[in-house]
Amino acid sequence: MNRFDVALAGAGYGALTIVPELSLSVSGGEVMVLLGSNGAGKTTSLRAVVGTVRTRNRSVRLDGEDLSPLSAWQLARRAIAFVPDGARCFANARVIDNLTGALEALKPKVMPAERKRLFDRVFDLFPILHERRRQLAGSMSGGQRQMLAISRALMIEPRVMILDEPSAGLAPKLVEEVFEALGRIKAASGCAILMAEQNVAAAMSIADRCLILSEGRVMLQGDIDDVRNDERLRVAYLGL
Amino acid sequence: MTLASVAQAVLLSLTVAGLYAAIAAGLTLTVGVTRIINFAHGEFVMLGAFLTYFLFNQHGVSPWIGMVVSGVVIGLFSALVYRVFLARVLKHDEHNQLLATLGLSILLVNIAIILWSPDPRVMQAPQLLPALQLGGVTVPGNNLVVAGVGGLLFLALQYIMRHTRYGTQMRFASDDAELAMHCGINVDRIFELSFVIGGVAAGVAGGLVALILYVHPVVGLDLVIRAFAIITLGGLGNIPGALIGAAILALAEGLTSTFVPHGGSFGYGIAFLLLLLVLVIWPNGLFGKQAHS
Repeated sequence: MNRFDVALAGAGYGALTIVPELSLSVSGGEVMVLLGSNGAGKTTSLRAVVGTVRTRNRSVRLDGEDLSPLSAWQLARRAIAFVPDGARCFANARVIDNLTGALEALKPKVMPAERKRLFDRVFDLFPILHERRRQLAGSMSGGQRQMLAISRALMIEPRVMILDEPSAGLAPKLVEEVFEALGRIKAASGCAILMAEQNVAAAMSIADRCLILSEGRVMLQGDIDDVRNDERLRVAYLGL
Repeated sequence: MTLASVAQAVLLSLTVAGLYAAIAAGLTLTVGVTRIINFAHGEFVMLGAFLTYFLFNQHGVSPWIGMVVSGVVIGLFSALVYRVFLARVLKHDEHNQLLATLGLSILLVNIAIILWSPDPRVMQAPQLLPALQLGGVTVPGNNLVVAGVGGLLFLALQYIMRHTRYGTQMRFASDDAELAMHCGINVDRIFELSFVIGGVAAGVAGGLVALILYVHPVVGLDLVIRAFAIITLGGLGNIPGALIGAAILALAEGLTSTFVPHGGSFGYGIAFLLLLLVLVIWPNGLFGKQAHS
């Protein structure tokens, strides 16, 4: 079922509060996108969710189970995957080792059949990674590293996937490819997807719901169609 | 300068390289993974040397066993140092870490001076292996032990890093600690583990020190400076690089002190001249790869 509920208060750095209050829910098979301009608090919100940004209050629930006390690495062990911005990879390890390492960090004794199924899935999604599997991750292009970052998250069979600007720095062709893959993940895996995006058009292509942030405040939370159909909203917050 | 004397000097230098490699490989693993410049690594070696020395001289424990005991004790000591001391410092900036480990180094040296006096001691250990005779060249048995155990330690560290799950996690944490955390890796535990592995290597290396060098409170200072030179030569975090760096340094030192008149007093200096030259020409070390960002 994978229903993910989050409530945050007072997220920020040091004495500075960036996002005073935010709460959201995403269900399995659903994509929620955080929209907003640079500095609106999207990254801060996502990082507060996974616990790497301090909050005054933070509640994280997966299918009702309270995961609030867990830290970032423990959330990953509960199948909540976070893909930070910047297409980050373990640059000095090969593509295949990035994937194997992520898998074995969680499941040291994974069965060969299971291993094959997981590898087949990501290579089916991104055939280029299979081609480049023996290459050092750091020597690949930004688009390929983003595909690897998403694949690495898939290796833990996430129930929730949190992505920070997967389109950032990618050529339009690759943005399309990455979002098409995210659409397939959404349809096939039953995991709940929460992501921040600045590329509104790309985000809207797969999102079911959206949350618009402006200067740390939630301006709107609702169905993607509400935004699509409301010209005033689009002009005010999305510049469309 | 005869062929035999050159061969003798080269072989002896290579046995010393085994000691340097063991110390440098542990240090490069710890520093490469945690990014803490651990000046106290030399004092871990010094404590291991004293432990092996006292076990032999006061209790008649064979240095073979002494080395193992030193490895275990110093490994545990490293875990303690990491938990009560470095884990806290890690959260602050790098200058503080540097000062903290330097402070720890000075503290340990001075505790050793108070407890055991600054006088150098000789273990007077029996030769643990028969000497190696090759033509006119003799390599004493304990030098063979140093080369062999140093080489084994080196291989063990290399194996752990390349072929175990924990090695992968250490390499991930070294590449990008935050990303490793988001892969479900308990980075704090992995840092501690790398520290403990470095500590075990330092403890065993301390036992080797007691076999072929004087045991005294500042023996670690000389060794850690050499180890830093070696890991700079080999590239930070590069364990095979540490082996080759150790051989180069030991050979430069050994040959200088054997064949240059009064060379014994500046063999150490020649080694660092070499280091400066390498750094001017290859700033990433001989085998340091250009890090991908």
